[in-house]
Amino acid sequence: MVNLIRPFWQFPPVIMLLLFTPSLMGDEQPPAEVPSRTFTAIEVYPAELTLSSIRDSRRVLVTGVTNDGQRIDLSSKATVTTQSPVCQTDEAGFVAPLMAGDGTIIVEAEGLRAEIPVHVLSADVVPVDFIREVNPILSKVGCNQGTCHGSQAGKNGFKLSLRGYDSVYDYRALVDDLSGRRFNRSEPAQSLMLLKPTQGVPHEGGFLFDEQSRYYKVLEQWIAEGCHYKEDAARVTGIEVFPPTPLLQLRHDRQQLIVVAKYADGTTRDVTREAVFDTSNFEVATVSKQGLITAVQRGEAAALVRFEGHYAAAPISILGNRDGYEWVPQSELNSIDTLVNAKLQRMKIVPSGLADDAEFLRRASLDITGVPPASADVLAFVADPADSMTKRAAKIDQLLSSPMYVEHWTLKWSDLLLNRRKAVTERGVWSFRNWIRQSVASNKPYNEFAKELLTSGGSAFENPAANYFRIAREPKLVMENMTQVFLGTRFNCNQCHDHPFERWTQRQYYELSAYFADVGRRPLPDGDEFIFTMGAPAAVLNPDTNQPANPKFPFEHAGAIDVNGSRREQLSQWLTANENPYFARSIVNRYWSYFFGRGIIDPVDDIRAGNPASNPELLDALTKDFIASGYDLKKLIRTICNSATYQRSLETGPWNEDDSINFSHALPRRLSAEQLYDAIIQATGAPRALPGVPAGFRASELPDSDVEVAFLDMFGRAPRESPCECERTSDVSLGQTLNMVNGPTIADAIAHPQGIIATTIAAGASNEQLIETIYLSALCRKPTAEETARTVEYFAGAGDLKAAAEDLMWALINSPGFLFNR
Amino acid sequence: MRHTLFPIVFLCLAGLALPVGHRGAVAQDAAAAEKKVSYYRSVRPILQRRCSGCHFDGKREGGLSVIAVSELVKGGEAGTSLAAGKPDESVLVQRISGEKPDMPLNSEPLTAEQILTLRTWIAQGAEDDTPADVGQAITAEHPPLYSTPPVVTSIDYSPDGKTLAVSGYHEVLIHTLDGSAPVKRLVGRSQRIESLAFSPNGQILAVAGGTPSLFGEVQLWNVADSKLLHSVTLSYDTLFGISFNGDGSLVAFGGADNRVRVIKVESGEVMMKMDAHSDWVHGTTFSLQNDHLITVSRDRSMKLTIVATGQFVDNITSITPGALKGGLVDVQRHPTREQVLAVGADGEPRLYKIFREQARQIGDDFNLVRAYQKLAGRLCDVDLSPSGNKFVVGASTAVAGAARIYLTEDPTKIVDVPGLTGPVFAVSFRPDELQVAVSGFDGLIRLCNAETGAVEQTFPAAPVTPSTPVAAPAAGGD
Repeated sequence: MVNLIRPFWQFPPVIMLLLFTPSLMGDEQPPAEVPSRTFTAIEVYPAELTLSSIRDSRRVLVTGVTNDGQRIDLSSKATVTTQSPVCQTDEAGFVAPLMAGDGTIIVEAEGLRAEIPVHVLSADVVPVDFIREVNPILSKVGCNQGTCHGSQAGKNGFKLSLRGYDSVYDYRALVDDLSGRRFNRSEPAQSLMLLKPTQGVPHEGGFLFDEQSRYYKVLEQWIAEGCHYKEDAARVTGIEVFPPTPLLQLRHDRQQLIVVAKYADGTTRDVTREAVFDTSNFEVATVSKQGLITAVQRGEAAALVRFEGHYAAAPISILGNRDGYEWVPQSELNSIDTLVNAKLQRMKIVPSGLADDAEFLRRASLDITGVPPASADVLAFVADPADSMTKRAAKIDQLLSSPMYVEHWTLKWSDLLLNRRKAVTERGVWSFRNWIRQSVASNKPYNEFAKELLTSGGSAFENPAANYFRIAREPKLVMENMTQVFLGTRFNCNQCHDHPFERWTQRQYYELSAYFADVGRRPLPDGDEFIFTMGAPAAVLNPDTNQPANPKFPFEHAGAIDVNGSRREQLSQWLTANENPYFARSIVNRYWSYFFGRGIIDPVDDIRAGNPASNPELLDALTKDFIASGYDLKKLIRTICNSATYQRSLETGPWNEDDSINFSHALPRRLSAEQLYDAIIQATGAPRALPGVPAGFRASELPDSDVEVAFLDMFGRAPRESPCECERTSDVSLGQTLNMVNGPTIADAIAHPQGIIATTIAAGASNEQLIETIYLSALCRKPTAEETARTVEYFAGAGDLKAAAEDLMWALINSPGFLFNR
Repeated sequence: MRHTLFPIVFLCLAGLALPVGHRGAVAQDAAAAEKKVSYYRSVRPILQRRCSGCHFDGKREGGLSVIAVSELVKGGEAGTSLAAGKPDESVLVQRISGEKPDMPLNSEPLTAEQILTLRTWIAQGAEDDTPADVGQAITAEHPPLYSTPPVVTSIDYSPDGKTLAVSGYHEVLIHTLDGSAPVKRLVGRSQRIESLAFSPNGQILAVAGGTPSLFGEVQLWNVADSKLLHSVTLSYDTLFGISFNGDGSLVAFGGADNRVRVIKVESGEVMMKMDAHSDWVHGTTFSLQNDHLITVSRDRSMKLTIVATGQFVDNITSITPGALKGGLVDVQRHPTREQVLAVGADGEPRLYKIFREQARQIGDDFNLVRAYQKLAGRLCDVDLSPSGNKFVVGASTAVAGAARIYLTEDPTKIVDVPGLTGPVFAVSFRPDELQVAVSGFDGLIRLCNAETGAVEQTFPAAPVTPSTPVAAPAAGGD
């Protein structure tokens, strides 16, 4: 161990050289790229300051406006001074009260000057409050973080609740543990809780603050006042970050954040010094402990802010150098386009043009019905002389009413609800699938769908929705599946500890699970089961307290809940209420991802404050529409598909080639296992003959993954063991490539005697006709003149026409134009 | 940049060059030479702040402690840290210098100014100017001042029932029962008094305590003349749960080093150590025959040890069923039987047989005689009456507390002390069994009727002198 630690000049040569590479030279800074700027005005925030008590000090943000209209943060350069007796200012730009009354502070930056009126309501000495003032400091300096005293076992015998979520627990740890070991009322400075962070005594966690710091003085005063705990102290109800959407121009530009907490008693407090900051992507922007953003490179990230169990994310945009950028006016087909284009303009992106009719048709067919269009449909659609937008809208409606729409979305929901025979028997799989199928076919409102599912009961064969409670058989699992699918959030982390990036706590995990504690299951003949509500709910034990959890929602909303209903009735009312901020929003986001390959929040089933939407206004508008439509999923799809945003080309230009999150162009998406299989059969014209189901069944119509088809497993169909979207993989593996190149599925289909090639040749088609047939069938478009010419040449040189045609089909099936939805 | 560094790299490889920055450091050393650098005022704070988290007596990473100059001279696995007069040859300087210093591990390097301070101190001879009376600001002549009563962690009636020993900060206060004022103040080194006990004949008061994260101490006082007979410094953190054996010749106590020790009262010499606990040891008590020691710990176990040899015999409880985190806090032997009462974090007093009569089974609780009615929160202290017929416990939920008197043989009978407002950390039964003393977070001693629980007298644990309030923190300055 000791030998590893030695002076650097003793390192072997290889390591020596590494030490001198610039990337490892910590203090070597590249030259700043920030140009000199001319400022014409400064703006201050807040425009007016009200300080309500002696420790209510607030920070001022100063923004400079340049001659070309850019807004640059000058907070760290500005001087904030005052001549007024009511308040004082410090170097960090904070204004603190001295006495009650009104005054003014003066802000100066870049030779410009602004004044801010200050109202001090009171400067009386008030006692330090544990919940409001002490615990946030423990969070800020990191005492209660997961690697220190917040860990499961604490550190060195001192354990705090993780990130301070349990203030009574923390108070006990500081005051009650070991008969008051950690404080000394007579000599506060001799308190262990002050000696440790100042390294007055050895502290493995290091030096955290010194005796002159504000943190120290607050803790010292609290101890001197007697270490009191006020249970009824007003709690934080939310935090706000300003500016809410920081926009930085160039590398090395900076932006200071201010965090204001709102309390249940109506007061607010500047908690910039107590809030904990992080960045979602340090390659784009860093955020310092004091809340200062520094731009690293063009892109988007989020400043993540945490204070007292509340989370906020401020989306950061770094523009970088966009010299020469000019917005190109876009035709907007519906409100989606308006909102997407607003974001594109903000990020200085120019979107791609629209895809052509054939491209649109293939994309929409695959997205809405899961299968590519038939050759005849392609020809008819392209030949249709109607206005392109008109015929596209009509086509969307037609696809939405097709039988394949029902099959495709039944498959999706069967995946999400984990319908599989291992859990519900083969008969159960079919009956549950039929219930889902009927729900899709009748376009059952989504809230009704969820409600029926969660309150289902009786014989699972006769009331197929009840199979939901056979698939997950214990309250915790039902709850985990429910939250991930219907709220788009992951509650499984907090089974063992509080969610690391969200406000969800371990306690809430068990409280929410308790809503499923009264689900009874009684076996019936033939593998059926009777699902009922038990009079005496089973206990859902919280391992931390060993006490049964009582049902409680993890958050309240204004929606009506009938408190006399059964646990599941109450839960379904809470879940599906318009006021639930996750229910409609998560499905809208999930459906969006099915059409763009990426959610507005992504991953779609990991919605949390630390994973902000790339375009929150868009998601909000879609959610509002969806609720107003009565949870109409078909209408949602129609709206999405009729937008110009959905219909954009895959081709990118110089002003959108680096965009992958703002929907400025189409993203290629590999066909799913079932889509791929069905597309190969359709392209080759081979008959559909899957094992275990009647002839003619498509892969997308299989009831579950227990119908063994090696091809589908290789291409990542969902095994239906977890409701995570990630279960269905779109990875590309060597095995897949070899299978596409050499595998029997492709080879047999292409060479099938009833296939397109065999029948077209038998019908006496010309080489040109044969080539067009193959192109249409495989890629859903006619070949270009150049493609035709080259293929004709190839056919001419080949001895065996059938073999040459098969080569062409094989090559097209292995091309991106076939493998991807684009 | 990379090119200009290559020559240095090659020189380094050839073993010719000195560390980067060395030349500059020498010049600075010379410039600062006239100004004498104080170890106590300048060097010690740097080492304490930047190094002591890993290199202190309790941890000794790499074998090193930086807590005192003597420790630096002793050094760690790499030998002595100091070469007086020769900063460059001092391991301490080598480890913190250079472009990528080894130390502090995983942390910001020391500032140039801090390094210069250390270098200069070593160049000037590395003298230890620690004042001899350091840590002795509080003495018998200058007893502690209290602006509010101290939190009371331990109290004990003298065997004659006439006085009460009460823990304070840095001292034990001996009160008469009229609450007028302490008649004696036994001021010592330890900031915290964790546990105190009178010897069976009342002549000696044993105190376990220390200063958190620095040292543990046992004090043995001759009560009659307030003379400190022995101060035994042990461990690097406080000691707990002190108890006498039957003839008063030995005291046993636990510690934050998970160790149980027994020392001879006569000499202060440690005669037994036991290391079977895996967490802090909070309570000790001798068996009726005085040949065994029973100890309880935050590791949730109660262990039995042979006093003469220190040999661990058995767990009296296995992992105490139902015990929560925080484990066991106190234990006391029944005055006339080989049984012990144990209390802890689960709030339920339990009476156990000391010696096992049935073969062990995993997870069994065969030695349990009786469990008593549970209190909210955790139990902090227990005291049996001299006959063993009754006992009193103190409890705390941090925001509230309770004291309760139980009948040992009849778990249905309980008496609660009314009107308690804060956590109760310390209880004691008066030898005549008519009164119990109760104290804790609020620093008030309450003397209560042992039959009814009624509070008969209340007085502060220590004399209180009003003080000026701490000034409100100013803005800024993080």
